[in-house]
Amino acid sequence: MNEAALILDAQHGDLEAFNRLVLAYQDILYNTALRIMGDDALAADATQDAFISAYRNITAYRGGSFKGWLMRTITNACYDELRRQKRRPTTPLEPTNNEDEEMESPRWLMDSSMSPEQKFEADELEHAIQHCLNALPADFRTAVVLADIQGMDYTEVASASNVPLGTIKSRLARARGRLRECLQGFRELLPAAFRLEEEPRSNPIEETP
Amino acid sequence: MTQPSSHDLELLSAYLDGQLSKTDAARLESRIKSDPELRSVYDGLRQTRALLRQLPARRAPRNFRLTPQMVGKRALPRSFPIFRLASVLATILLFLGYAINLTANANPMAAATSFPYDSYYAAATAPAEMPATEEAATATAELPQGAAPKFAPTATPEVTAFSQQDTITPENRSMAAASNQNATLVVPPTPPLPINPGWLFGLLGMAVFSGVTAFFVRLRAQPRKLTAKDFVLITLALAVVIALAMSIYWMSLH
Repeated sequence: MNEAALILDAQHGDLEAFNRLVLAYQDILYNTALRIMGDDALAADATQDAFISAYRNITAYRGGSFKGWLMRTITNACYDELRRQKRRPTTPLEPTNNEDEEMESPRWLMDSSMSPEQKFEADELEHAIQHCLNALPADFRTAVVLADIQGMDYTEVASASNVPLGTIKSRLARARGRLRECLQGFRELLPAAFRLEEEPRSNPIEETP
Repeated sequence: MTQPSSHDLELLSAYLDGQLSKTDAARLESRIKSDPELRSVYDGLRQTRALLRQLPARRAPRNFRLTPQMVGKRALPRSFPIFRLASVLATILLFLGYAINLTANANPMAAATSFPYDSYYAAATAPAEMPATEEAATATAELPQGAAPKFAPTATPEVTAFSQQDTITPENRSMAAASNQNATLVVPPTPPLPINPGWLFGLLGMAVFSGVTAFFVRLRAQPRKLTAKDFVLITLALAVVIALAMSIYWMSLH
């Protein structure tokens, strides 16, 4: 059965039809949540919440990209989960200074106060990237996850985040800028091809899209 | 590390995604070629994006299939089918009764033939002993108020008795006409409706009550967002109920 038929059945309350859509999209939703939340368990919770919310609101889906619609749902579920975490904080989501203001360029990754566990985790490139992602404000992180990890275009990201296109462009640029800085702390982990600022300057312009 | 201005950062990021106009892209390209710092930032952004793109996609650690419990789909309470059946039965009986009354109203003679006059005549012997003129005036005055809203059985024999005496004895009619002009305004009374409108009102109330209860019982057990379609249906149902109630009331008056 095709996707449109499954969606239609789900809109009429057919849970089994919806579950077939769940199977088709659960990896991509979980992966998105994982990169935004930076935690396996929280990502799983957000994914489950997103599917429950999607089922309850599926009558609000009015055509267009179903994946895009689900991405908006998972983004909202992640924000809800982040808000819940903020109310019961264990570790700060965004680094703050002494005045409790968010730091523009967190340098905590290079801080010698980094715990041995954190250092151990950061030994792996994936963890290093996730650490840098976690250091971003949630809005920036969402933009970069949707655009660069999920490969969505600006319009899709704007739609999924429910913000104007211009805001997405700005968030994406700032997020990439901060990630670039952050990843400098993990230069030794990066593959030779990705050694920032050490790459042979052939002709980058020609490699652009 | 080189710290680009936020404007340059946005330009470089958009350029990376092919989002700049041809003119802006050409201008930026020439700047990148001539400015090693800008080029360094550009390379860094490009590599950052490449790093993010090569992140391994993780598979879902478990199945996220939904169960009926997760979406609040509880089994419907036992009372639900009772209310639903009551609503349906009341509606059917209501429309049946309404149709019978409507037919009788449209064809009074048909209703008259089925009307049990004999028993009413028998019951009307006592009032018939009153002077005819006085009785005629009473019946005329009582017809709109007494007979209409409730179809009280006590009012009906009087009307019938009047009708009987009036039609059978012409002297009475002339006496009534002479003594009280109101009597000339009296329309020939129609026989009562086959189904008491009070019953119809009762059925309407029962249909509405059980229907609304069944609706809320289901909504409570299986919560869902009410859609525009629901509101349209509720409005339509409300309109039908009001129309029926008015129609039954009107029927009882005539």
